[in-house]
Amino acid sequence: MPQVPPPPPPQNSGYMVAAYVLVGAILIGYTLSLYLRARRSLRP
Amino acid sequence: MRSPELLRHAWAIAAKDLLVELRSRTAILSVATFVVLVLMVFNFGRDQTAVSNIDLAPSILWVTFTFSGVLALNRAFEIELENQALDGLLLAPIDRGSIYLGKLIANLIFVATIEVIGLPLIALFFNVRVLVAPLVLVIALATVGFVAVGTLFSAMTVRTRFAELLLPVLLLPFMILPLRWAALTTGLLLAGRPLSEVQGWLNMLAVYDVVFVVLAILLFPATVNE
Amino acid sequence: MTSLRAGRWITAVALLLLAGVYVRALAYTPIEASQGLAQKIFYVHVPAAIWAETAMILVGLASVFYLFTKDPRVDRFAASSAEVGTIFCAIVLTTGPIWGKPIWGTWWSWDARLTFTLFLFLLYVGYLLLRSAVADPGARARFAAVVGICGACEVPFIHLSVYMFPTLHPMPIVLQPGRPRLPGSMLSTWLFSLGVFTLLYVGFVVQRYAIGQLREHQEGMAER
Repeated sequence: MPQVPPPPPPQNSGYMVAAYVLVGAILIGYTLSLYLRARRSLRP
Repeated sequence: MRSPELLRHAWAIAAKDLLVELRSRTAILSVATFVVLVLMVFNFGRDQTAVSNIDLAPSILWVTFTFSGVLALNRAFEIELENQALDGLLLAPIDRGSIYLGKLIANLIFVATIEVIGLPLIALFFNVRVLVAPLVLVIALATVGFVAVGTLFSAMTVRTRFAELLLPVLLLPFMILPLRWAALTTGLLLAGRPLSEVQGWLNMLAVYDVVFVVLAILLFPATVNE
Repeated sequence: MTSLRAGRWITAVALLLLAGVYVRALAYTPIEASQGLAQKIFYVHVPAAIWAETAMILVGLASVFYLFTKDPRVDRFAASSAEVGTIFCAIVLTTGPIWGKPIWGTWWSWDARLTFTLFLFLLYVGYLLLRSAVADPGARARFAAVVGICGACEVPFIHLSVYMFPTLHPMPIVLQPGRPRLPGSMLSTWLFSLGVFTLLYVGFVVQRYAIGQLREHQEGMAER
């Protein structure tokens, strides 16, 4: 039986990039929010 | 905490609530009107050629009952809020659990009345045979589930600023599960499937009810401790 | 405020390590043959999901603890865990559809697990809204505890729902007993990510806890 190469994986890197960017944005955004709120509470 | 006394007190509280309801009748009439309105919206909102009535019936049924149920629950503790009657109840030498049970019973009867009004209307408007015994069991089980949690939550939300908005928001996640099981089961029963097929979901509903009623009885004192 | 500083340090380290996870997942982990690059979303999606749910369970446990001890520190922890849990839940709810679209062809499906995460999110939002709607700190803590316990008790029912209905969602792949199907390098990337998300949870909670402490102190001062 002649060997048939398996199909290449689908081209969907855009989604991967979008997800990773989004996760980074959310986590950094929340870090910033915590930082700012703490600063506001520390101010007399 | 002696059982018969607990129930006796609960029943007394429920009876008081229901008497108040009966005398004014505003609440039951408003909610009944609401049911009719929702059913009419369903009718005008659907595409009669796209979905058959029998497929849509479970959704109509459950949306109507849950929204009406939430309306009914909102008023549960409002009665006490006027004239600070709740303080009087709390001072009485009765177990806090019986206050909750009393409210639960009153709410269940109220919502049951809505369902008794609503079911024949659904059968009438949408030409579906809904008055089937197993279906009534499903409705009863699901109702107990969300009214149990709703009664507990309404004790807390009644004193907050956006009570009418907050109660549905808090309650929604707790309605979804019994609702889902009930809607699935309703769909199957309306399609004529035997009771044995839906036994699993009925059991889940029953367990859910037991767990949350017990939980609510245990947690209720935390909602009224001053 | 030493706990605030500790929290900030932990978070900083966690974010740095997160960058490491990104590099490892994107450049040094093999591509999954049938799903392609999009599968790599798995490395951030699943650890976030695990912590979104664990945070809720912790809120539940803390709530029970609070009702018995009436210790405001326990309530403060519950509030912190709820807030951080909400953030992680948001991550799951956004990366889920982004992963789903290329793989299943649809942004959303009422698949049991997506639905579960959606109403975990609703539970969180309800909890936080209730907290913001009650002014008196004692009542706020008690009410939040009630909702927290109910929420945590619902989680097992939701789980039962997930396993009762066959679904589009990939079945558990990492914790399948006896047959771990995840190849070595993927597993270690995943574990690394899980560790980083754990660190993130801790760092965030510690910071939020400190902020809660500061605010209560301020409230106390204002009343005098």
